[in-house]
Amino acid sequence: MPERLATADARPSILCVSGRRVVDVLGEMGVHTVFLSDPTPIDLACLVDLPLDLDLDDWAATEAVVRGLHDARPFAGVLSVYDAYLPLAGYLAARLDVAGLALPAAFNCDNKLRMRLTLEAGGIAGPAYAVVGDPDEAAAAARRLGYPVVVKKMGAAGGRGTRLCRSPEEVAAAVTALWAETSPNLLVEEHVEGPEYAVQTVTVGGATEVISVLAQHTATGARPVETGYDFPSGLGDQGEVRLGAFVARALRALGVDSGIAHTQVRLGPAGPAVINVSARPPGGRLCEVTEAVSGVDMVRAAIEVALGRPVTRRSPVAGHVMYRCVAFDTAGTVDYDPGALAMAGDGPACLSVSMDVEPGERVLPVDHVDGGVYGRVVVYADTAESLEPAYRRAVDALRPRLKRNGT
Amino acid sequence: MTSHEYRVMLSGGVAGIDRDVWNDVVRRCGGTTFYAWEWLAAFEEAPPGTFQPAHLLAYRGDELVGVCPAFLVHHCPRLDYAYSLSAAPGLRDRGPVLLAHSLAGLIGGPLVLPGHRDAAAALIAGLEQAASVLDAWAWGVANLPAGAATGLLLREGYAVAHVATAYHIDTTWPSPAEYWSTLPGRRRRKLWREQRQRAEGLVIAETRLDADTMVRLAHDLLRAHGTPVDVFPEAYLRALHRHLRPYERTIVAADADGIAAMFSGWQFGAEWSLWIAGLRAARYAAFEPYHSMLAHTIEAAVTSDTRVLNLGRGNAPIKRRYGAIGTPLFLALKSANRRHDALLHAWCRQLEVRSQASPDGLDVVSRCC
Repeated sequence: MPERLATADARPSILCVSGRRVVDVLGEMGVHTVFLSDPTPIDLACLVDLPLDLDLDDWAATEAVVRGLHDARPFAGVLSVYDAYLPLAGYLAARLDVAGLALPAAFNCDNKLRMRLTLEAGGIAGPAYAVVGDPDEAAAAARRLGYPVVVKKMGAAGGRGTRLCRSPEEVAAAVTALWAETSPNLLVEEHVEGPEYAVQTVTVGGATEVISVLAQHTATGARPVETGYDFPSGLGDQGEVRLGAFVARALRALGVDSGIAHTQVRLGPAGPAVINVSARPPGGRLCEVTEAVSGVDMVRAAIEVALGRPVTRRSPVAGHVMYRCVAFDTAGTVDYDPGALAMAGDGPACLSVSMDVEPGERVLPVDHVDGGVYGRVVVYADTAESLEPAYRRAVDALRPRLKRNGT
Repeated sequence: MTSHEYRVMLSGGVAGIDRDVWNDVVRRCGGTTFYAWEWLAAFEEAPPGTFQPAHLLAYRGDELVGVCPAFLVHHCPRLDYAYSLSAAPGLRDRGPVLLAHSLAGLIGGPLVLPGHRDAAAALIAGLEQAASVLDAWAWGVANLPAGAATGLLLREGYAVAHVATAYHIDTTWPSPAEYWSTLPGRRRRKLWREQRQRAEGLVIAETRLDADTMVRLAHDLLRAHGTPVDVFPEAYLRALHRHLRPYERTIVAADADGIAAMFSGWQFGAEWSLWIAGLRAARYAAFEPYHSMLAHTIEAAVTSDTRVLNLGRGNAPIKRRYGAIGTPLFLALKSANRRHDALLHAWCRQLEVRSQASPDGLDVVSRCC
């Protein structure tokens, strides 16, 4: 009786410390996926080839486990799209000597002081800043820098680690709120006045390509959360080229030699200033927007870079985008019409409507330190004129509204 | 070693370096005691471990424009302690590292004359080349203050850890009264009260201290904190005392039995660096004279040519109450191998977590400050 022939699994293998979207794309691309988590959600465990539950804070133990797997079936690369795990992914890539974000770059993007120091050394402008350890030092720094100032955690904490302060009292409150025993130092930064832009990039072999430039709207309250984006950015071709070159220099200075990045830049009175660099895809629906306007799926691009493949490019499907976050001026209980979430648009515009909260949930005002945005309405169109009417229709259908506290 | 316009030379010890030329460059660079020729001479004479001098000098033409004191470290109790915090086994067993220049100093790294910024990059490149010549598996800088040089190393991919914070006070006030007026009134009154209450029966003064008393008080305090004295061996302290005598500025507290406490330091250029404390711990277990001595030091600095008072590491909450500003100090290391670099990064990550868990940095009561 003839023996059954084993089918060799020739799929490339990726070690992944990421989330659902990355796992989905890895599956679509036919990539053998070893997934690290702590613990692995059951839905993801079912989608990957090998889920591993490990203490991801113990790098040596994690390395020991994945080294054994690598010896049996070599990984092409290590990938993460989470801030918290970029250093681990860089570490594993370096130790296994496979593709991945350079470990120094991961650390330089992970810590705001390192980012500032590295960019300064590379001649890349950013806000003036001071390292502070207590409210007195912060107050002195704010006096030197001039109000308003931004007080922020050094580690990656997203918008929740940042406060915009206009007075000594607000600085003291921000330091009290953000100070942590395990991370006792904070940055006090000059608040750079000027329009802000989000620049999405793909870097291969040290060469950076800008794939989208979006004008960014930022709340002016205590938490400078991002409240919207526009495409085109309004900078014009020349302006975007200059901004792109500035971002490419910043990424080079930080050591980002491969992968994707989301960089926020303000055009201040003294010129462009880097506000933040994240060596990962942007949050919210910015990946979706970037894909619509550039034809590049950033998550797929990250995987392709890790695999050493060319980045897939499709035709852009939208020439104009209006992206607005759902936020509230006061606290209360939210209500909206869930039927609007299924709106896809009509005529010349496409819509994407999403909410992060269910009707009946509590929300806080956008300028509250614990507040934020609770949903997004994104309109895609070929012409600028089509955006506003479609956005209005979506908001009218969604009808986000609040019951005030105690009412 | 050359880097465009700069020529970097490796020296096997300060005996081969002209003291006046070296110190002149250090002064013009704004360098402190820890770069002084005499500090290095003492370190070479009686090192607190096994150190091989490997100093780098940057020249443009024949002019010395930058220095980077460094040692090939075979054994250092402070570094060994830091190694022991790593989950990566065998870092210490890999062999010596080239370090500019020691965890014992309050500052390290390249020092270059104004207008010679590229000389710093040349010295850093020289450090890598020297490491290769000396068979060091890794090289780097200890206690590098946050600033341009740190950014340069971060850009070069060095593994970096914030291991301590040094506290400085600007002492350019016209008078002590004007310094005190910068502190909030309530805090100022509270500090004065603490100074009076805790220093009863003690006389605080600036003086020169004999070596025997310096060693005894320093070791008494270390033992009181359970710190092994091998971080400050007697021969090392005596060598420093002797070589740095011209720069000594020490504040003492004396009672009827003699000198009970000291802040020993040196002023080189405009910075007065307080480097080691000592205490007759059997009598003053809680370092009762601390506030009075600190206040006296600040006033002595304000009324002399001192522009910056470096209060060193540790005791952050008290120093901050007197208006001291913290400067993060980094340990930065690199190797020639991507996989080894990853181990250094992982180690630095652990050091930083450990360091930031304490306001005093990397375990001040143990071995690293």
